Amino acid sequence: MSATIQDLQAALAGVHDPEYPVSVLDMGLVRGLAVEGDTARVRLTYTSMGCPCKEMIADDVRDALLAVVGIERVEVQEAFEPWTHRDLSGRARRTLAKLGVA
Amino acid sequence: MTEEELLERIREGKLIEGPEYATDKYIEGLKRTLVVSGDTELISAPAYMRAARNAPKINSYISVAGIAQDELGHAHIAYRLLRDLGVDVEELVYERDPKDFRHPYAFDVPLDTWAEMVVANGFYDRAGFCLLDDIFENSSYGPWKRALVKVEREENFHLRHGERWMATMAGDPEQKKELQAAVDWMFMMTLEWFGLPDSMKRHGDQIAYGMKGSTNDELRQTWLSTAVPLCEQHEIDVPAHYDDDSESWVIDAPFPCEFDEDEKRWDFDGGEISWERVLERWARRGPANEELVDQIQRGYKQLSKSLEVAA
Amino acid sequence: MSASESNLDRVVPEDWSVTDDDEALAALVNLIVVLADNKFFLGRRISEWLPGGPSLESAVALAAIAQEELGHARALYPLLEEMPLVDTPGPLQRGAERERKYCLDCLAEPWEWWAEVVAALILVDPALTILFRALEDARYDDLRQRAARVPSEERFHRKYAEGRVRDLARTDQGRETLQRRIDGMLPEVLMWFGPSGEPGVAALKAQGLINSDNDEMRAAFQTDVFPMLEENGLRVEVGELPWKRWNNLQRKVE
Ligand SMILES: [Fe+2]
Ligand SMILES: [Fe+2]
Repeated sequence: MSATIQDLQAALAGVHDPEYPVSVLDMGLVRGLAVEGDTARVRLTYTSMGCPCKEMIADDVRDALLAVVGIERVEVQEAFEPWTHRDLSGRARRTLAKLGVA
Repeated sequence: MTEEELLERIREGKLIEGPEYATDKYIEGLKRTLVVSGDTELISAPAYMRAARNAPKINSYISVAGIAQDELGHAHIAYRLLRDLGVDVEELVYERDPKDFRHPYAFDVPLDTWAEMVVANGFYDRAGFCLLDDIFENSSYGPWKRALVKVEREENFHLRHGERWMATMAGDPEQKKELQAAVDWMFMMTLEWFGLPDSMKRHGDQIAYGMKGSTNDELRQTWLSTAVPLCEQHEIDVPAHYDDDSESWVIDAPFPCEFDEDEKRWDFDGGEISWERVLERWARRGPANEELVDQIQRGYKQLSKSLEVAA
Repeated sequence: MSASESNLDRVVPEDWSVTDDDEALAALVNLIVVLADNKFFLGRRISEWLPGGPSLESAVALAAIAQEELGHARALYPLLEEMPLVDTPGPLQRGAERERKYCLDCLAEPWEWWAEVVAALILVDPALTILFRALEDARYDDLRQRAARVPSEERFHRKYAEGRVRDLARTDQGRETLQRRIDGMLPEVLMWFGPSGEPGVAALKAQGLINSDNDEMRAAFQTDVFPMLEENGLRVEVGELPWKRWNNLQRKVE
């Protein structure tokens, strides 16, 4: 049985930004998600082109998707799309406000 | 407010929200702690950027720049609190003699290789984290306690950065040798960071006033409890082990011990030395002290004194 | 935001078909390596000053700027590997991988003076941004997407740079110090846009890979930066540009 988009989303909900307790989904970094057979494809953007956590985030995303039953291959692509605070989910905004950052 | 009233408030778990709710003695102690914290965060920025010159990839260089940015932000928090307590922070940061900076001696020993950089993330940031977490849990000073939430999240990234790179390097025989060489001097260096043993230092006041919650030896144990397993996991040798009988971590080398700062080597053969000797070395400061402080002060000095005109 | 189920376009780049014009292709490779190397060394030079800005706020800002400059370089280098040419210069990781550097001379060595940092932030960084803007509608998706994100990040760099120009220009001594650095850098920056009627750039324009020619970009740069400098009492006259010493391949004065 192959994995579904929902399975991938559930996995990504557990991948936090390395500096904040907010998932990459709530951060608005995931710009595309697809599954094709045993391959998951994900497009990620970062809060800045000079994001210091870029490699760590990409690796964490890859590891999380590889842990999904039915996924054997993961392709992570950088989207180079702009990111602004509007891309944060309501939940992310609340968490960050509590930390005194956003 | 009398000392007794203040101590009573702290015992009740009430937070101090500003100098008007504390005694001079409390504020002086708080200032000393904040200067050490601010200086330590601040000096790590030039120390890390120095080591980053040998970063293997753009990605890793950018990561270190990001870490340095965090550290500058952490320093800024401590100095801002000092400013609110009436300290002239500009003078403190930009006009102080390098020898009067209060960061641990460890940062005065230059970080040169990429292996040293990642071990610094794995060891030094871990030490910083142990100390800050203790302050976060136990500090009686409200403004600082609240600011530390963000600091801890960021330190977590620094630690992970170090751990991931240590794992990567340990997987390659050549790089593992470099890693081991870095660990060989930096492990003992971090143990020293926690300061005099409890037998020589009284923490009574600091703990009663809520400046910290744990003693030096307790913090050293906390650090060992994660640093040693990290190294063991990658088969990196460290002179320490867990002793089941005493239920504590035991250091398997003379400690404290003479350090050759040019060779970056501990003189284990020379045996244990007195802490007075160590304090003398700390007071002399280490080889990178002036260089790193200059890295921090040079823009301010050039701007304010237009040194270039004279040059 | 929640993840969309959009189909992924071009996870694996399709066969390269941006242009079959040899001159445009050569110019494109050159353009990318020149932009990337300049961003790389600008980022490295700024990062060497990272803890040393004249205030803590300044230091934090410099750290952010350095990361972004290097991030821009990091985004461009992989494009070199996509190019259907055998001899493209390789990406820089540590900075010493190849003998030939495609960066401005003023970025080649560490800066000794704060005024050099400020001059580069107000001259070099905006000049590079002008070029990124000229790529915003390039008929080459991978380049256009990357280029399009750069100017929005640069807004903060510019704001910071103007603040530091004003700091220095506040005193006669500070202004003169900065003036000397500007005098040193400006001719090279102006020439960096290239000579009038450069054939490679004309070919890029004909192929829809760039939207302005060298003179237009140079003029845009002057309009962008000169008024701000003049308002602060800084002179922006340059004499005859030494085109005889111009190295077109590395885009710098020899
Ligand atoms: Fe820190
Ligand atoms: Fe740190």
